[in-house]
Amino acid sequence: MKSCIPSSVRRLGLLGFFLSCFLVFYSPESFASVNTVHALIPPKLHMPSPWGVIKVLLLLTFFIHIILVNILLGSVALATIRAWQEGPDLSFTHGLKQDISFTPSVLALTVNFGVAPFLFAQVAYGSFLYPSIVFMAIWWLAIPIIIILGYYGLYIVNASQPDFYAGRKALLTIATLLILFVAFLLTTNSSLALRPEHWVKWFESPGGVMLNLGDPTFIPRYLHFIIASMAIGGLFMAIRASWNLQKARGDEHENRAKMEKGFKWFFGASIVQALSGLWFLLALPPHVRSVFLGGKTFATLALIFGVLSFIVALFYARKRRVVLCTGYTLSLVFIMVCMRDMVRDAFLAPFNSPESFSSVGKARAGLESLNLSPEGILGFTRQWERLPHPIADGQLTALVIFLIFTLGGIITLIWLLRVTLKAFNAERNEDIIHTPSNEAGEI
Amino acid sequence: MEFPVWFIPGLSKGVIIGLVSVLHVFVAQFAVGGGIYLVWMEKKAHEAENAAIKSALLDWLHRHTYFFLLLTMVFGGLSGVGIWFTMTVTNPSATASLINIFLWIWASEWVFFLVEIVALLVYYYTYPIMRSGKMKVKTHMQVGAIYAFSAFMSLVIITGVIGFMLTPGTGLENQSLAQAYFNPSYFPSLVFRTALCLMLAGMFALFTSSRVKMTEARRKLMRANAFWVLIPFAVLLLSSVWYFYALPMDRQAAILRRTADIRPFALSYGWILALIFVLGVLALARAEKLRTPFTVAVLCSGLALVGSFESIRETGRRPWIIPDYMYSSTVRLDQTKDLEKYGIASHSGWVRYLEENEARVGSGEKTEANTSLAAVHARSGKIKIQKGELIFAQQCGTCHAVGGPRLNIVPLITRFAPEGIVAQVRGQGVAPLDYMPPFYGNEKDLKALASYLNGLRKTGI
Repeated sequence: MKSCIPSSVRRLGLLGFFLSCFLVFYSPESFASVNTVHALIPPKLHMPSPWGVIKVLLLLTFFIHIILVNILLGSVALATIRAWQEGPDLSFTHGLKQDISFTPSVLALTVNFGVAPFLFAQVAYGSFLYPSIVFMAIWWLAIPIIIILGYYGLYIVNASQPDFYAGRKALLTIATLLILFVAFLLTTNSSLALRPEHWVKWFESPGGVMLNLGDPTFIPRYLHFIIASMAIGGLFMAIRASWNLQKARGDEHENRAKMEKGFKWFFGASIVQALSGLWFLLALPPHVRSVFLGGKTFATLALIFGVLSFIVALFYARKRRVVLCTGYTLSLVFIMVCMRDMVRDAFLAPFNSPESFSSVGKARAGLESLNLSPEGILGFTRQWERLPHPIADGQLTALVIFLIFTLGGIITLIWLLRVTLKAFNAERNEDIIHTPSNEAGEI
Repeated sequence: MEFPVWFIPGLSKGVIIGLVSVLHVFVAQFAVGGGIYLVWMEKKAHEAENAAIKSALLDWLHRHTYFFLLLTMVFGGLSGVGIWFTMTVTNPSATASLINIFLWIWASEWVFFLVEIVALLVYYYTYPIMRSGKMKVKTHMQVGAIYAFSAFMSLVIITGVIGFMLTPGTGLENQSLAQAYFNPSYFPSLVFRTALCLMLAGMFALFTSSRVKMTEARRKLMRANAFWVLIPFAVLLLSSVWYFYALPMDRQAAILRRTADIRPFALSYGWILALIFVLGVLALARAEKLRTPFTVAVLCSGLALVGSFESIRETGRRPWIIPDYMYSSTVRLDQTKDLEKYGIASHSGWVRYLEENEARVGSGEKTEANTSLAAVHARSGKIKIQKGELIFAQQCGTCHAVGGPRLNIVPLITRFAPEGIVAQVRGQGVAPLDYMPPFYGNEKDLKALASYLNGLRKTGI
């Protein structure tokens, strides 16, 4: 196994292990009582469609989004590592370009597939999501700007000439750091939304610059995501090399080397990922962690199937079986997306049910001391209920229209894919993807 | 109202949302018109009889597509996310309501956004293959047509949501999504925006075609592009009138109001229209003789037109953010009675927290309430926002800032005595302050707000 894991990954794994041991003894701090917190959570609006429909769409679109993010981040990160490891010779330049030529297009799709789950999450978890966004407003507004910068960075790297070696290395590094930073901000937001007990900190910092570094789940959550990207980036490299081998495209020796390297990254990063996953599990508050350790059958089964998929995917990675390894990895990612959702629901459970809302009496007492009549707290006593939907009629028709558009969209995408493959096959063995040579001067 | 607020005293949220939305709309509408333009121009180029001209046109179109892709897909796509993010941080209440009402409309737009991206990438990356003859021209143009259709559909879909914010019609009253979506300004707005999209496509094409080296090809392109500006211009002019008269009387009056928040935009809209017509005619007459600076001026006039139009539409909504449902102060109509009777704390946990903490600060008794985390928080001195300030941020902060370039509150209040401020706030919502939403809260809330405003008057920021 030793030969399979790059030394940098091994070191990262050890660090992760020691940190996780430290965090086992560290439990989250509570900032505010449940009573106060309940009053701060905005009331929920009635959803336009059944919860299940929105949840399924949320999970499906987020699954595609996260796969694309992993491919994007993993590929640019691996290319950056390669740029720093190897010298500025021409074969390197050519190889590097091949490694990242697809990334701007993947970035476009990643953003697109980020839109849909965000939309569904806003409807399903708005009461928690909007406040968490407002807390970090400035960071939040920076996200699209950072992505635009990273995006143009990748386009410049792709369009640059071979003699632009140093600049390309710097740009690639910056683009990778920018994407990592966006991931950091999105992880911050996801974790802030789950912690209403920390929300009173807004009163100390209403300017929208709040982060969530003090949350013990934050670092393992972020690492879990980054390391997954490294693994999937490696796997994607292996998939592309294997495709090229099958179609007899490019240099066979180079393709074999890339396949080998991709699988090594996948295997090594996955081992570290297991440690970061364990750390994440241990860092969760007891009421959330217990859900996966027998507390709820479905969640416990998800964890078991997740671990099994993980082992099988690693087994096929060792066997260098691309299709089977990819299949099990995809199922693993889907299980992880579902588990992420279960973590969210478990975190928010105390704020979503009437049983947990023991504070009604206390809230009334609090209000009486302020000489307000009890009716005035209606907004707080119905936290677990939902406000009536502003326009309930016609939502089902709109859902059906959306589904018809989706079906039409999928058929169109399949047609576009076929047309593209046909065109590229016709151009086989020719370097067809190029930007017009005089663009920079002309436009 | 129920949400926390992003509050930086000198920050004008209106300026931020205006800037992001105008830039986005400018590029996104170019993306819609540009799709139709690409397919049309590719057809024209293939039909050209002179081989040299045909080649020059197709070469230019390839470069123009790359420019189009970099601008619309990267900046256009991300600024679209940007405007959504901006809405979310500046006005979560309104965003939550709109998304709950129009979830499936937005989701449908997302489907077209996806097809749009994929089709544009395929169109661009297969362009050299089409040129080399290894892909049928017809297939390539079909890909372009799919792009054009998807981009246009995203406009068709989103227009209903934007129109609803200005003219909700009977949708809310009858609880009907169809009536809310096909609201009174839907069709005029759709025709107006389609014309604007096509005109912007012509403007951007003028910009990139001014650098074509072959004179004959440049002449052909510039003349065609000038027509792409002038023909939609005529439709734009007529649909502007239709759009205006389709609005309810109170919205029409709001747009014609002589206040500083809307008058300059209404006036500049007329002047810019005239300027665009002149520039379009010049482009047609002088064609190949025109250089890039001229085309940059044309683009700037397009941006100015989009800016003034969007500002009129946004400001024309006041005092509402969604007419007859939510005021621009984020107060919903159904909340107003509670707010007046029981105070803002009855709906805002954030205001209530400050009220409770204010009560706790003064008391030194060792009761259970006084040793709670909230009480410790109250005495810690870490709380950086007071009740009056929070009420200002909630009910005034959508439009007004403390300092800053637009609708700065400080000069507006310095002319009043302390009692005058209270009278002024009470006068909101009735003529002549009927373009402002009424203040909703009880006497204690009003006192806290007035005290905060008085503090500003004294410091004279």
